[in-house]
Amino acid sequence: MMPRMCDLGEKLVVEIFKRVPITSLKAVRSTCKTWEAITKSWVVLAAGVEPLPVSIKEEKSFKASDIYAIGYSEDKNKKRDHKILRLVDDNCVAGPVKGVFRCEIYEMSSSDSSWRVLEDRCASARGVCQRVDDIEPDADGSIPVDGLSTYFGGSFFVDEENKVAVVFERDSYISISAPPDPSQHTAFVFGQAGYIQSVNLGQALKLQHLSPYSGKHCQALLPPLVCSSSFRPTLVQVNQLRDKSY
Amino acid sequence: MSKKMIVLKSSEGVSFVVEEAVARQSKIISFLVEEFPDRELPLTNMTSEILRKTIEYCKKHVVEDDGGGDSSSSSSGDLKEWDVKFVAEIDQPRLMDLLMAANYLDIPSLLDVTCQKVADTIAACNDEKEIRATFNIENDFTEEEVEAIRMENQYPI
Repeated sequence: MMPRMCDLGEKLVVEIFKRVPITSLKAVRSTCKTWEAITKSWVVLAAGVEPLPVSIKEEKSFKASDIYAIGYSEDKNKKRDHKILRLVDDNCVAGPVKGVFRCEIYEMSSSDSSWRVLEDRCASARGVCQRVDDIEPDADGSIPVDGLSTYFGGSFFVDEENKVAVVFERDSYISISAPPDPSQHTAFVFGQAGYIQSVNLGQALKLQHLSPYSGKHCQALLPPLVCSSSFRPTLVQVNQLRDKSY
Repeated sequence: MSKKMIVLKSSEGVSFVVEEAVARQSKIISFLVEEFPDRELPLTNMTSEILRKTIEYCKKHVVEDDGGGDSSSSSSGDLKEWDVKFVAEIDQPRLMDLLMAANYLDIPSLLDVTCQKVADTIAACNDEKEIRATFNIENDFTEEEVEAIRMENQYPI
């Protein structure tokens, strides 16, 4: 009998999917139920010289307005410790307003591959940029976050080797006056001299959610997910325990 | 001095005589050779064709420690090129067999190149329909389920 993908077993299918570029994720998910189940919790997160199989086990909720940046520090043996910066806008949370921005750093060491929260404190927009400098100590300070609508969860990383910053964003937002159709996920590449090019990552998913303000259902577009500087983005599994209380 | 040879037997009962260094690239065979020296090793779930392919790969990748053997030792660039050609010449079903063989015998580098080849094949497909056709996968989604997948990825804001 001809061997088929389903004979491989989940472990091998995962091995294959880790090598599939992010641009094929949507097609992979839509292929069959098994593949959808395997990749359901996958988030395009990080890639480097070696894929980083990581799992974030968090008791807190992840929000569409969160902004992520990814970076790394390199020791003398060229071993990379990846770090993820998460910017949380508490204004989006129902209930008493706790602060404008919170900033958390997760550090993953190449030796033990575990996550820990380094910092969790209020950060101003300026502080945000300083945190990014912490992540990329030698990176050009002029990270083009100013031009971004930070409210909507654009994520970015800086690639030191190629001297570029890449910002992941949607090309449009849900707006009452002019609903975008369909909105695309786009990676914008910035060099030191400015904007270089954009890469289309595919159509943004439209999701329904309950507004904490109005109590009404409204639509949102799934923000693009973080991707690290690498030669080729691969898929990494992130186990997000989302807060179901909403 | 002649090199130590071991005998691997395919599911059809065909024996393959292989240099131990070549076969030891498989962690499983390496283990078995130590546990059962001087015995034929039956690989009942591998056909002769796949076993021959696997041995061909291992012969190419064997690292010469005495430097004087007739096994090939190539530069890493050449090896990479050879690997690409090696998997390119294999058709889809046999590639799956080889991937499973690499997994079963525990040959990490062969598993890597075969997985990469399958991943590249997926990436070369334009959409899910083409993926299904290429890998002979049945579409078990209903129209409603496709819509449900979109909606159930609720993202709290």
